Amino acid sequence: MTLLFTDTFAISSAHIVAKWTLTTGTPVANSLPLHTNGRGMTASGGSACTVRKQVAASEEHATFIAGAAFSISGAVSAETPLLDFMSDGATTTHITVSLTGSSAAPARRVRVYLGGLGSTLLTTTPVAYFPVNGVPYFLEAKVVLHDTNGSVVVKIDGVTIIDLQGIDTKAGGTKTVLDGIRLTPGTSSAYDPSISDFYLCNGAGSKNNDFLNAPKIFCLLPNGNGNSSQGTGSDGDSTDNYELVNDPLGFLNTSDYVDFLATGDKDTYTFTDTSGISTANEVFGVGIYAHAQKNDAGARTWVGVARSGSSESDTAAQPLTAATFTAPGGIIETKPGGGAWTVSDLHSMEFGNKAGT
Amino acid sequence: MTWARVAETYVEAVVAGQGAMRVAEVYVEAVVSGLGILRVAETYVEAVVSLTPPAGAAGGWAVGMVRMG
Repeated sequence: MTLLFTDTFAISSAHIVAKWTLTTGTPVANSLPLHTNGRGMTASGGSACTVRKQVAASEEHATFIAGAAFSISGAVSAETPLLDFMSDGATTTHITVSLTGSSAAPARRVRVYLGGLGSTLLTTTPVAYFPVNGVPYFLEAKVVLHDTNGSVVVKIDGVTIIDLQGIDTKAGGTKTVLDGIRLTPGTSSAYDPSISDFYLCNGAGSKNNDFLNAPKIFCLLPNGNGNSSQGTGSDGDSTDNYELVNDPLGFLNTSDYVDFLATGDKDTYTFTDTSGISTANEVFGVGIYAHAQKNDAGARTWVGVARSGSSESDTAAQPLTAATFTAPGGIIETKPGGGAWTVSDLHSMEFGNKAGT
Repeated sequence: MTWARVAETYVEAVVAGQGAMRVAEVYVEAVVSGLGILRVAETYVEAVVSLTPPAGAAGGWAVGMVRMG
């Protein structure tokens, strides 16, 4: 598996904090009409905010590819880090991709630093990007970590704008593999930058191990009963459980829920469709996520389920915390049952939750 | 006969400790090819043509003159 993680930041502010490690400030799941799903992450109060994601040990790799849709309001004057590629438990910053500050949009240029923002400048683009305020631009970077033969490639909207090869990309530290990524919403102003459609891949395997080239990431919610209904809802029955776990984007409510008591019990649901894109487009992968907890200290894990036709695939089991909601999730990279995976297939699929051991 | 007095009785059952799982929200994030839909509001061509015929194309002019006639 090489698609490691996604986030549209569409569910709620509390869910962002559950899904990421908060370093400073307060991330906000905000309404951003021009972004996919109409939502994304900003920061509260115009103060600095950083969130970071550390991957599992099995997902660490010398090559990371990360991307997201960023938009700038135009109010910020400070240089803004967009993507930080990290290691050593997401504490050592090796490569930073940033956007120079300016009150005038045309002056913004993309920079790459070794060792973090303001450290060793590797390059500045000769021309400016992000020309229109408030419009999302999809910025992606591929970093190969190495003392002498590393590389950094940056793309905007699928077009390469920076290509550094055979360079030192390792700013000290211990590990020889990357293990984390950091985002910085709202460095100097409440809405700069706004971020949505984040993805993270590593260079392993044969699928999703390179640029996804400005993908669209749709946050989809349950909208009907599926093949399995074994959970018990907060309304006391197993009927129409999907209505208890599909709060509108931005309004997560934990007072309605579904409980799963026995190992293997599961619900699957039909989901909303994508819009504004061809149904012939390829599906790179689907992240199945939940806002879930267990009821006490005993062992219990969450498993995501994907169902296509009569074939089902499970995500890896994820741990839960007693009486505290967390954000377990997992990635499915191939269509259950195999074969090409298109948006049309996605529209007829079911997804859901299963109680694991 | 000796009798026993029991003031309280209870059992302690030792069972598997796996608890229940509570899910308040579930969603998927589908990562799809970003190839967008092309929307065309108007289409036209601008043909840049010479005011004189290409060399050796006199026959073309002759055809045109025939049609006009």
